[in-house]
Amino acid sequence: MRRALEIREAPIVVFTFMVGIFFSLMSSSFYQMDNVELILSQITTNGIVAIGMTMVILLGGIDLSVGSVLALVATSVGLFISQGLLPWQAALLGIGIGVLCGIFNGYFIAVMNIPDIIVTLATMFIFRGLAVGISGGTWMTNFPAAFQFFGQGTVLGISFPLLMVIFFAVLFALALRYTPFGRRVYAIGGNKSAAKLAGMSIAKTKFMVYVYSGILASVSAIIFASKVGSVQASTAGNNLSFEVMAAVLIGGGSIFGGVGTIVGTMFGVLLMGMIKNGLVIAKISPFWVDATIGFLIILAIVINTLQRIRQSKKREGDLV
Amino acid sequence: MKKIGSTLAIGLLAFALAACGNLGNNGGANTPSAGGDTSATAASSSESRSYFINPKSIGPAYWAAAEKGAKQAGTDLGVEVIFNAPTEADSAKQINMIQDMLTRQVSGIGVSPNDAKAVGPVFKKAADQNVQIVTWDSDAPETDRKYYVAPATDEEVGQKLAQTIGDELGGKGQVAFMVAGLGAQNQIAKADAAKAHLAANYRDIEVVTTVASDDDQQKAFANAQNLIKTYPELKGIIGFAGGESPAAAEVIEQAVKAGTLKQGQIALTGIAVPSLVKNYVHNGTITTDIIWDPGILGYVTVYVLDQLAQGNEITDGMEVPNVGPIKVDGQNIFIGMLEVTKDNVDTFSF
Amino acid sequence: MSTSLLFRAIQPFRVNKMLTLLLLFAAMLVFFSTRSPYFLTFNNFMNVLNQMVEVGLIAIPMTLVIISGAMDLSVGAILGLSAVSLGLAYESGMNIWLSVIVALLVGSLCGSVNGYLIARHRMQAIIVTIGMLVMLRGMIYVLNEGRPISGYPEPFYFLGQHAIAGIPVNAIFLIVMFLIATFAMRRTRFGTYVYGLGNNEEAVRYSGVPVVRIRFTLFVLSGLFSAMAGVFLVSRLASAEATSGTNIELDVITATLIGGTHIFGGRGSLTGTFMGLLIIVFLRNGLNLMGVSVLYQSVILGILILIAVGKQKV
Repeated sequence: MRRALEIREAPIVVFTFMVGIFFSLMSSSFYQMDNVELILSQITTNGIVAIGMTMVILLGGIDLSVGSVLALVATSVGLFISQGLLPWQAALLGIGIGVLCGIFNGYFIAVMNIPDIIVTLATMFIFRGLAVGISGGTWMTNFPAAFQFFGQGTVLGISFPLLMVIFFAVLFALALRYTPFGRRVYAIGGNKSAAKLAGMSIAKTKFMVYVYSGILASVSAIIFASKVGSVQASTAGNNLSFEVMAAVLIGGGSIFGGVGTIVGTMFGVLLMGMIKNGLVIAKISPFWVDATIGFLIILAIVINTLQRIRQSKKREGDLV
Repeated sequence: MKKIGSTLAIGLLAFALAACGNLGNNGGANTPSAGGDTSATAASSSESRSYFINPKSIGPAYWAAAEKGAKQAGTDLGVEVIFNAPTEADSAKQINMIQDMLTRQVSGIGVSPNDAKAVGPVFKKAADQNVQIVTWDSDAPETDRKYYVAPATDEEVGQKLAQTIGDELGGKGQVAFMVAGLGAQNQIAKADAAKAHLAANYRDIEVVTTVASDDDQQKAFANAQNLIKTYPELKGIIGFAGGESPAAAEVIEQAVKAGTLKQGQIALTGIAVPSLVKNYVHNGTITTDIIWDPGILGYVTVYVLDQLAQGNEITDGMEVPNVGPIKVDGQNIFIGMLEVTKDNVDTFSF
Repeated sequence: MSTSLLFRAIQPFRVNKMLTLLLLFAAMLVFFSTRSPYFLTFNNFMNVLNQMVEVGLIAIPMTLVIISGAMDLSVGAILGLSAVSLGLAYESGMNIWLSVIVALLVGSLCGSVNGYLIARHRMQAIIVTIGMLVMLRGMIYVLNEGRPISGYPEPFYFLGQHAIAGIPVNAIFLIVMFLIATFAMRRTRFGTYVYGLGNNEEAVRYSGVPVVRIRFTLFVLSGLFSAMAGVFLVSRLASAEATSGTNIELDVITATLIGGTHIFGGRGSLTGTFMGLLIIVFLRNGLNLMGVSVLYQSVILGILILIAVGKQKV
């Protein structure tokens, strides 16, 4: 039991369960199967983006541009389809655009060595402008039925978007734990100079992480477009970067890098999704919803910090 | 030094891009007309009157349609029309932009205010400079604006929506409201009117809640999902902004497909551009959609401004070229609402 | 030949960021004045000064917070909450100047919550302030259900709508604030500590500086200035809205970064921030005057950030 509490993710897991129990007490429809499915389907887009964000934050960076990448990719996919491309062709091209966005970010951050927050702040404006520019101010909508598979289809009875979340989460969790790439990510985020001395290529790792982040954001964009059925380039994914960052940090990540796991992030995403769904299910006044979400974010971070203090006290004495 | 040089070079490049953007804009404005040279001559003959048409924000399809109409009026009347707004519906940013255009000495401004009270000071400044002021789509009463161009009053729109859902439900059941923003005045006015109308005429209809999407499609979508889940007895949804009913329609159709909802179990109506809800209207998810032609709204706004700038009177029933007669009631100019149904949804060009 | 002469002429000055910024700004002014006859007019300049006050006021503490190695994303929400508190206080029958004080207190209170969590408990500034952003924005809706509050007495509009000798009152206030803050940063121990905090917090702590108290003060200042910005905004617009200040933090951070403040702390200056501020407001104003659509504007702003700050190394 004590060992279990030592795990980094322990507080956030416990807190997630507590919130779950709380909402279940508020409304009996909260814990029913179909609502659980609903929550899971609502967190898919954030969940996929959060995987990329976890790696970015592990490196000590920040990606403010994910929402704009999402808007740009979703809009272009809509355009491709209206030009008569098949859904899978449009989706592949969309991912290609996500890769390009990632390369753009990665080039300036890793090769030109400009701080992440500056580059992604700039590309946040640039990609958003491009997205609205190519959309010509109209919405992408009236997608063909075949395109709906990406957001609404099922494989073996499990929804396709959820499968994608699981697939990418497992893939990157394994990659982070067992491959040289993963060890580099943690090493660079933990102690950059040491990593450099050990002969690791910081630029290459950073570059790859931003490319991955671009790919994940574009996958998420395709699911978004297919699920929601309409895309407004000027607002799609507007608050995405803050929301996803919050999820990663709630999940135990540290903004200074080197600390955090995909599992923790997934719990962060789940917690945010549960709160948003639960507040409506519990019929809380709409005017209270945002205030409560903010309060719970702060509460989660307080719990995380308490855990950190407790651990570091044990290890390093009373430094903090 | 070299660094500074390169910085400046890139900087100038960026401004060159700005200039291109500007050209692109004007090009866009002229395309509906026969060609670039006609508008150039027209502009010089009308002493280059220019108008700033300011929607709440740039991005939604609704405003894009209005822009087309306003620009068309510009070419028809031979005047310059600048159509611009911040990317988010923010009143401070909107007012900064109006102030900027006043220093450009435009002949008139057509504003759809995000906040009726906040535009008061800037309208006063405009009036002092002899700039013609017209509000459109949303009003700012008790300011220096001369006219308000609208499909109908917010109250009438709200009542119309309430009427539609009331009749579709047969006057009984739970109804939920979906709005773009809890703080947006035009949304509050419409929702309040709808609520009052339901309370007065359909006593068995209960408004269970109001959810806001903050103009985010994904949030509107999640809101609709949560509504259906939370209120199993829900019979109707009213979407008060352009993005709400398409999102709700998508959710309902997916739920019907998944078998968790019966076809026709939830009646849906709202304000939405026909092109966005075409499929949903055809599928019967939306029986009646309420809209007006935003293009005509933009067109009439420019026309009225141009008449005012030339010192002409606006009279009831006056003929607007390419649009037809307009109804003038005091300081209000109404172009009327449209009901979009299965039979006419394909006839709209916006 | 002439370039080498120019080069020699510039040599005595340190070819630094500030010069780049000045040159960029000058190039912008020249460019816009050739593009629009209305740009280089007294009225337009006063108009721009009037518009930059809210962003400018918040940029002062933001610069200090970033120099100290932290970040405050909740400023826009604090602005909104203070603006609405002012409205509510006045509506409840309070004297308008008392209501202003209420607004300032609310802002400082929010700032001290940030400060308590971040300075005292060493929580991560970004996440705490994101949480506060969501929560405070939500609080606004709880307080007044999103309805705008207007109808203030005439004397109150002095702050945001009047001018002394043609110069807007709020712009004068902003400039005075900048001067005071610059003085404090250059001449007081507080300023030295702030830089020290950003450069090497441990070293500063061991030399006996009250690190917690300084960091706390910075966040309280941030809240207070955001509230001031809220007051000036309400006075300028004659209305307190629930959405006031949404996304203003992005403008503020952009101005600060363009002004050369280093994102990881330790380096930066208020003069730089002021230049950054001038660059972004005049850019927006010039593009508006040219009738450039906002879509291109955001792309141009993005490119400008890359140019101006691109040389900041990790």
